[in-house]
Amino acid sequence: MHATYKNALMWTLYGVLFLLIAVLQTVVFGRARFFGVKLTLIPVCIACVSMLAGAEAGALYGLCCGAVWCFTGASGGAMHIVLLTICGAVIGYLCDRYLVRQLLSAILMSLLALVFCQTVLFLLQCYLGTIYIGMITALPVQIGLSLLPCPLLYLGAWAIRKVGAK
Amino acid sequence: MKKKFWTGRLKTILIVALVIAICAAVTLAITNGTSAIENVVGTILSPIRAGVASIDRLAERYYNYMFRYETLEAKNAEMEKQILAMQEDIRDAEQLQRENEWLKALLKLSEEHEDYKFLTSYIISWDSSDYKSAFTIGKGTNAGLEEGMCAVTENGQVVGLVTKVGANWATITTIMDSSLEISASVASSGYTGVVQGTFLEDGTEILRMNYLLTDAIVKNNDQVVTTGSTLYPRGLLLGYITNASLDETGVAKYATLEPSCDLSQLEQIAIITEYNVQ
Repeated sequence: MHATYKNALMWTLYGVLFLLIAVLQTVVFGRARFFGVKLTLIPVCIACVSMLAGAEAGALYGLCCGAVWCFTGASGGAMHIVLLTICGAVIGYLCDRYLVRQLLSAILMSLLALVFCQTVLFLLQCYLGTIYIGMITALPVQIGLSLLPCPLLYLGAWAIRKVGAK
Repeated sequence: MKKKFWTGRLKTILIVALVIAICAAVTLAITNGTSAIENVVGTILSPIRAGVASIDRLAERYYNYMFRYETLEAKNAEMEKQILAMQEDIRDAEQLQRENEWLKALLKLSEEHEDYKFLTSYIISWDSSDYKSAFTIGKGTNAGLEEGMCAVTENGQVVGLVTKVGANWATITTIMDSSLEISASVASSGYTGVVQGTFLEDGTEILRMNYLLTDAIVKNNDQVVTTGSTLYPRGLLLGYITNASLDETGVAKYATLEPSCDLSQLEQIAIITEYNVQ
């Protein structure tokens, strides 16, 4: 199979993966609360893909996903575009330079992405006066629970990466 | 050779991200209602969401059947008892209704709610944020929906208002969301206020009726209903009073409410598309 075609197929599948996660997040996990919080899978998805794709491709993937997620009407709006792009770039870079691409790294990077995105969004909501700073206690629970599907997502991203392998 | 973080291409991507984010924020802020891009994304995603939502409902039904059979059986027995009690209430209500109708005829008042026209729809997705209470339904402007229309349950309990509409989707912001303020009154005493969703410091979502008079006397379980506006009819049930106290300023009273319906259990809702503004 031609390398360009394989590459295009891989990125299409990454796009489908994101759409699947976005739909699952709003349809299934949007209604269900676990220990009083909703799961956040988008940063985990970006982390898993970016660590395999590298800094620049990861940042571009984060940018595209952030834009789509923003226009689905997600709470936090345009902030997602910047946050997910930074996540993609930093995680891709860390994996390029310092980390081995394996499950443990994926969990660590997902944790980093979740802490970064959710903390910034939480502080933004606090600043806007929608919520109280005391509600920060729910954040570790949300981050912890959102990490649980990470192995599954990493496996998906890894399998898609294999499709595009030269 | 060590790879640098700040490569030219990465800088470009980050700048593009920043520019798109600013443009998106400005577009979303200045657009009155739903922006064109939101409409396109929502229209594409709506059928996918509807499909996944129906699978989700089916899976939930199977799960309930397999793992909650005994609970459902107990609930069924309890509900049968409740039905018997309610049938008795209905008999009383019918008598009161006849009396009421007589009074209405006397006052030449028209029958209530006959002017309502409903449009029903399934919920296809929920907002994934912990800080917002909204959901999306699978009908939009194609079905005649408009922003500001009121969403209710099959029993006429207020769920929320339509805040965004696309071609085949619409977002309903629920009464529990802090961005929604609804004029309301206590049904038994007529005290008026504004009902709004808010958070307690521990993160619990509650419904509050603000701006009550300081000398207002309200009782637990008093019904709170809409006072009516151009957006929603009057007399729709919002919730029941559970507590009352002076607010943070000390110059007004507020009451906490228990919502009239359990939002987390909603599957289908009705939108009031037409009614006579009285």
